[in-house]
Amino acid sequence: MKINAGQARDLAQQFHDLATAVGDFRFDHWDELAKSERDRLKDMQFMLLNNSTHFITELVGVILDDVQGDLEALQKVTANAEKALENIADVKKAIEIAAELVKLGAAVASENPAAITSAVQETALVVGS
Amino acid sequence: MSLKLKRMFCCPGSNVILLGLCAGLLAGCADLKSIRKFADSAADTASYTDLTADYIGGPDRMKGYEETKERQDELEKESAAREKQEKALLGVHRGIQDYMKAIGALASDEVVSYDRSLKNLGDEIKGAKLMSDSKVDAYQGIARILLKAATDGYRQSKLKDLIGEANEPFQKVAGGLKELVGDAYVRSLNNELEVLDIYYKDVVKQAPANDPGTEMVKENWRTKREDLEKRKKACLTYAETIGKIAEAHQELFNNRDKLNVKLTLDMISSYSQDLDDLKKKIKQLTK
Repeated sequence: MKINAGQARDLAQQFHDLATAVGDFRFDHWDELAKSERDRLKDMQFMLLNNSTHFITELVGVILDDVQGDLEALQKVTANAEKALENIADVKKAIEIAAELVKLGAAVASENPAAITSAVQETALVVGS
Repeated sequence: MSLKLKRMFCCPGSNVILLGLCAGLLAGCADLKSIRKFADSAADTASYTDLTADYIGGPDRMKGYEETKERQDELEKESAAREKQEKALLGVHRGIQDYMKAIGALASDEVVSYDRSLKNLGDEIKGAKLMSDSKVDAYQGIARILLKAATDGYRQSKLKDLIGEANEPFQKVAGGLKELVGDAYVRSLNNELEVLDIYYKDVVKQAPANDPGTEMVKENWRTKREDLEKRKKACLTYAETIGKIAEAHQELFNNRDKLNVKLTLDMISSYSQDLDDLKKKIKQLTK
């Protein structure tokens, strides 16, 4: 069974609080406890904290699952924004192409083969970029 | 050119009419600098992923304090699980960053500036001697205004549409990131603090009386605690920053029909200022 964010958060908190309570007990009764008992309680503290850590990882997983659909929707809107930017860039591109075409026209009118070749190459470059 | 247009442009008062038309169009052009500044700042905030890296490395850091193989293995598993989450976590940062970058680019005046392209076109026309230089300059000036006005209307309507479409998913994704950093990451750091305390309390408790090394151990403990507390504060400040970004986006959504109105732009500027202040705070806490 999959847990939800609230359950993961509660479990993480409860295991954390239990670990703290065990720690408080261990230090409050330090002198009354045998070393082996203290070590056992210490290990229990670490185990409880590890459980808490596990449920934090679970919590992150649940949050990530919850936002996945919205993240995809946001990415689609971003792609639309990029498309709008491309449309504006296309206007600039059209002006650049027009400038190259004017240059090409002038080169053709000059009847200079070298100038025509260079203008054709430049126009092709701008149209293709 | 149609007869009507010819009459309009060739009559003696045509320049006055054109100037009036251009002035009117220019008045409609929006200076969305403050939206751009806000979006850039928000994108920059979203690109900050150190706290996410910190969360992923948590179990690995704790492992060093836990003594038994069994406990270390448990943390090893957590470490692997968190590493698997890394791509998705960075995806959340990236999703917000990319969206904000796109909004910022669309709000940038650069995008609707045709100065350079038109200058090239004008130079080519002048070079080709297709018309007199003064006429080229005049047409270039008019074309610049007409093009800016046309695309400015387009970008404003696009911005409005995008903010309208994005608000719902954006609020949820930003809310998710806020919860991750401001809640889950803080909890993870709280556990690190607890592990640190267990370890150092034990060392101090077991140290022989008047051991000169104990003060050094305590100093080390204090430094590590302070560092963890700072990272916790950085997480909370980061979550607050993401909350501000979401709030500002909500305001943009609420005022999407008035994006070029001074009141809206001033409000967005004030959010940008808040973001800058919070970012400085995060920088101080994580340096």
